[in-house]
Amino acid sequence: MSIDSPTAGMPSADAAPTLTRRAAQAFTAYRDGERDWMGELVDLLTPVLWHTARGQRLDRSSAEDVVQTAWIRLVEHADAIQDPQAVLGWLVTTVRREAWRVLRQSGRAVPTDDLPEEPAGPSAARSVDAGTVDPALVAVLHEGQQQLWHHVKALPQRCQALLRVIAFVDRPDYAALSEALGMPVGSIGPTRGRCLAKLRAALLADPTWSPS
Amino acid sequence: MNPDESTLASEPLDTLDEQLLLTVRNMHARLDPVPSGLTERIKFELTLAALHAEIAELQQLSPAGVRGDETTYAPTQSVTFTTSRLSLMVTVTAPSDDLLEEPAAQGTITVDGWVTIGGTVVELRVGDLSLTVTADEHGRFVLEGVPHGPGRFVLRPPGEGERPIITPSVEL
Repeated sequence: MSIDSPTAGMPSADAAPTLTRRAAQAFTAYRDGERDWMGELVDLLTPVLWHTARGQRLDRSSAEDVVQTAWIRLVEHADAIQDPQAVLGWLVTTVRREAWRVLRQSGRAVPTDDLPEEPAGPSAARSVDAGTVDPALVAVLHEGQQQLWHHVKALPQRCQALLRVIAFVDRPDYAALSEALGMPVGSIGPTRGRCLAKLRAALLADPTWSPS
Repeated sequence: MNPDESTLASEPLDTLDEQLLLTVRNMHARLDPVPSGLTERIKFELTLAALHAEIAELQQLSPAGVRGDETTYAPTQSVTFTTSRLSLMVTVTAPSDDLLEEPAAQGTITVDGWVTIGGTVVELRVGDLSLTVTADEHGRFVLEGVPHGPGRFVLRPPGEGERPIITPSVEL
């Protein structure tokens, strides 16, 4: 599927349809009565939504539920979405809200980026981390990916969540997605933003890292 | 954030960033993949929601078929689904009965069915394919040329305002 194709080297926003635009096309067709397009939309966007839910540190089972719920909400509220270009952002926001609801119900700590009234310090994010993976699994990564994994894990939780989702969309969509994730304007796109800058600085300072 | 990071943060995204994000993406896809079958389960849930359908229960699955003798090699499956309103029985036959040397996975299958309400419109969905037939007054129907794969039935009993019934997916 084209969602797996690398976006590197894309010269401009208009060169290829972004994920947002492809989603808008599928959603428009669906709303015009071509119901099969909902299946396309599900195939297209579920990976982003999965990583959104997991980035909120839900366990795999809860993440599945939350992603399914978001899709059902979309069908229920399809007519309320004015701009088809907004469908990706709408789903990501819905997943985030649902994840927040599930975490709160289960009495687990809610990610700090959903609690702006609390000062976001490193200690606040050190709660039950259900979204992490079995360290044994890390062994399946390539050598370069393992290095990257260690540097990513050293980032603040909200940066990890942001980069995880951004990595699954196309460059022109970064700013809108970052907003849907509740991140401040300028977190990523059009500039690099703090999260990616931190990761890049860490990698460049790592003499064993080579970006290949 | 140190000054180097501040500078880095205010620069426009470049190709190295895209390369980094691609690596991040591959890492997550490898480490924490979307569960297999999740998109299919979502599509099913959405179909249910769109149809306002009732889900039938899978009652019985007999992969051995009804004829117990060992000479009957062709894979036959009988399945029964029930809801409070009706029952559906289907028998799946691979037409390899007299062509034993041909792998059964090749070609198509025949679905013989009986539904307890005559005149019910029976739709079988296998992959992207949808086959529809109307059961006769006794509730009997036959679907031929059905491809292998996971399939589910959508039943629309005759009569105004009847909710459709949808079955769980079974391997055909």
